[in-house]
Amino acid sequence: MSEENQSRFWQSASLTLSRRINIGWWLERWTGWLMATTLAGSVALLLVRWTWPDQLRWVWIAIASMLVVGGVFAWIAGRRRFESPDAARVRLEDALGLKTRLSAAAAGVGQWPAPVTGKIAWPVRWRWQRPLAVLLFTVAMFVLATLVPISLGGTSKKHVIEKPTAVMDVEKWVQELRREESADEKSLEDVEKKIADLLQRPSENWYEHGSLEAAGNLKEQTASELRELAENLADAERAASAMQAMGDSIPQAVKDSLTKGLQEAAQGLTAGGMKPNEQLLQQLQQMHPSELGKLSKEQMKQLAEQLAKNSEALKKSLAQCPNFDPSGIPSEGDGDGDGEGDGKGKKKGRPGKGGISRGRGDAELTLSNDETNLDTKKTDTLKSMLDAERAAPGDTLAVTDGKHEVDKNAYQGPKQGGGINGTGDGGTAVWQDSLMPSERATLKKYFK
Amino acid sequence: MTQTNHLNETDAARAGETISRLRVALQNVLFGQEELIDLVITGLLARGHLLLEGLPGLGKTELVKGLSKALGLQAKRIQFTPDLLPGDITGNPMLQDVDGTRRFVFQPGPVFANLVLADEINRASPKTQSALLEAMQERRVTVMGESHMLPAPFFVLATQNPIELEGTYPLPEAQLDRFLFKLDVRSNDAATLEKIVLHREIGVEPEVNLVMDAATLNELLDLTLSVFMPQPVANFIARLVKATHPGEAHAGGVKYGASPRAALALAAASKARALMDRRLNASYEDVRAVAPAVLRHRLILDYGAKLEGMTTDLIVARLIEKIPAQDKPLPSILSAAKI
Repeated sequence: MSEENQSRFWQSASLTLSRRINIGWWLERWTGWLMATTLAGSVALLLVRWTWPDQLRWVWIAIASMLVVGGVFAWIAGRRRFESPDAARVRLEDALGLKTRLSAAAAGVGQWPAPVTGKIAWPVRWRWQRPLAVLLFTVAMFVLATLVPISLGGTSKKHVIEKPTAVMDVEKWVQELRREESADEKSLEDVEKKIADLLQRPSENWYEHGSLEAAGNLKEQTASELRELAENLADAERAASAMQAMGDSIPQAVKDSLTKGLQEAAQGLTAGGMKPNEQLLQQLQQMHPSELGKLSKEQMKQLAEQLAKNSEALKKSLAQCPNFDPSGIPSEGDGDGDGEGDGKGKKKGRPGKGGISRGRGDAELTLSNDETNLDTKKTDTLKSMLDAERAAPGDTLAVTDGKHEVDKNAYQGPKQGGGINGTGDGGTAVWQDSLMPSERATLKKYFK
Repeated sequence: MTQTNHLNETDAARAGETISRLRVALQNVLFGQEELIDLVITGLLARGHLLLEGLPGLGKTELVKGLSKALGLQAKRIQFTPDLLPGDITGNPMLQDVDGTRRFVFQPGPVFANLVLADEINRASPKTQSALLEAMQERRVTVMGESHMLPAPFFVLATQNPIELEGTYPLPEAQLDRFLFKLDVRSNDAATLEKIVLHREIGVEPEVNLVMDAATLNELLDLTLSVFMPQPVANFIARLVKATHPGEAHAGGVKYGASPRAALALAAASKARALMDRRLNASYEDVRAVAPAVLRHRLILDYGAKLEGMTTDLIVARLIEKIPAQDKPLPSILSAAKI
């Protein structure tokens, strides 16, 4: 082989070795970048899959761009450690035992050594463990970030939360009442405002104990007001119909009684939580209670018709209300029997009210979830003839008897298992409530 | 110094041939000490003075005498004793009649020879030992303000005994540094002893053929200077010497490191070894081969290292192992392969 070829061989070998070392430096820098890109890219993949799954390709493009930019940065950063072919030649001649002949020949002293036959034993060896581990980690992270099951993100999740059933029921009731125009619009707006107040809390809190209790109370209160409205309407309509039917031939005592009944019902309608529709309410508000007995036949007829119409509309809308408990609303045959004592109605729901010519009917004792309502609660008008239209703030318009609704099953703090539930006075056999049957038997046996 | 005329292959081959003959001649004098003989020749070619350390009877003096005979050089022996005076080595001015006038005339001492054997040099007082300092470094002697040049070539081959240290004066560091090599003369193995018994008689000196004269030796010394020192090898020598200094990574236990003279000694010895090998350039292998002989007497260990049994030879061996020819680091995904 000529001198020139020998020179070319060793210079090529030096160049190859220096390139190998420089690739090593570049790879060392780039694997660090690859790790960082892998972590950031995996998080980005998960986030985008969670929020905008259709934009996933942009993440892949960004990751590829980062890797390319990282490659350039790794080259720039690693360049100062790069090894020149001259430096690599020193490694080569030392490792191959060439007695520094390559450096001498490169300096023009002596001849280049004869080329190595076969494969050159390079003085450096790759250690692939670390780059391979990084590569495997990268692949594993991207596969996991791509394939791991993930639910869709927050915005759509909110729609899944439904309103509590009680709230939905009351909303439907309001809707039905508004459709049939059977209640005052302002009363309905008040109910809607209460619903809005309830739903103003974060949807995640709608099903907390306090929220559910408030929703239940709203439903119960609305139902109670509707029942009261229906009751008052029925009473007023009955009294007005009787007065209009009897005309002038009505005895004074009966007339007074019917007038009083009508006055009470009218007072309840104007002062109740749920008021009748605007037309009837306006009519009732224009009349002074004391003038009800002095209405002409025509006026009484008109009032009775209005009351009947509103009562009918209310019954119709209440029938459409879901989950509304109609018990307590007087049905068609309630009371108004022809004799004294028991009313001969159909005994549906609660007993009817007693009248001057009839009894109240007996209470229906049934095995229902609700305790038997003996109608101990009633709303009384005040003795003083207070003008409701001119009432000042703080004036008492009505007094309602009733009892607080106390949840008997409410949580009352932690209790020790097997502890004594009650503390009896001396001699009280408290132990009977807390001992096991076998223990109780043992005690009995001991005291015998 | 910039080298312009580099050794050519013809001269290298001719020099190698001559050196081979010298090697063979010395191997006939001293059996089983091939490595020692090579190092002695290397030291000579590098114009260095040698310090031979070994037990009595190992052939140190015989080697020097054989060398003087093979080279055809004037050799003188000085037996160092505690009462030896500097003038006994360098020579003294004597009052003489010269052309009818009486004046001092310098009478050269035994140091005026090509090859001086300073036997048991550590038995003389430091004052006497220092008489050799100027001769070894400057190759001249100054007496009463008058300098006298020593003959060329001039070599000092000193011996010292590592035992019986009572009444001895260890050589000062300055003088040790002037010796190119410190060579350990080791005991012979059984086969070598058998050969000695078969071929030697007590009181009969072995015959040594003349291999070259002083002129040829001077020519060889000049050729040694023209051996090419590649820059990577010079860099390797510099890093190796620097690594002997306290505070360097692999110089644990060293109190004082090697001087720049040690670097020059390494370079000169490497060139000499390359010439012996008929090469045109010094190499890393040459540096590694001569490093123990060059550095072992130039390092001073601290007390801790001495107590732990550390020797300068161990330190030098560690440095040779740890200091690579190429000091540039490799990336972590590449490892240096052993070939």
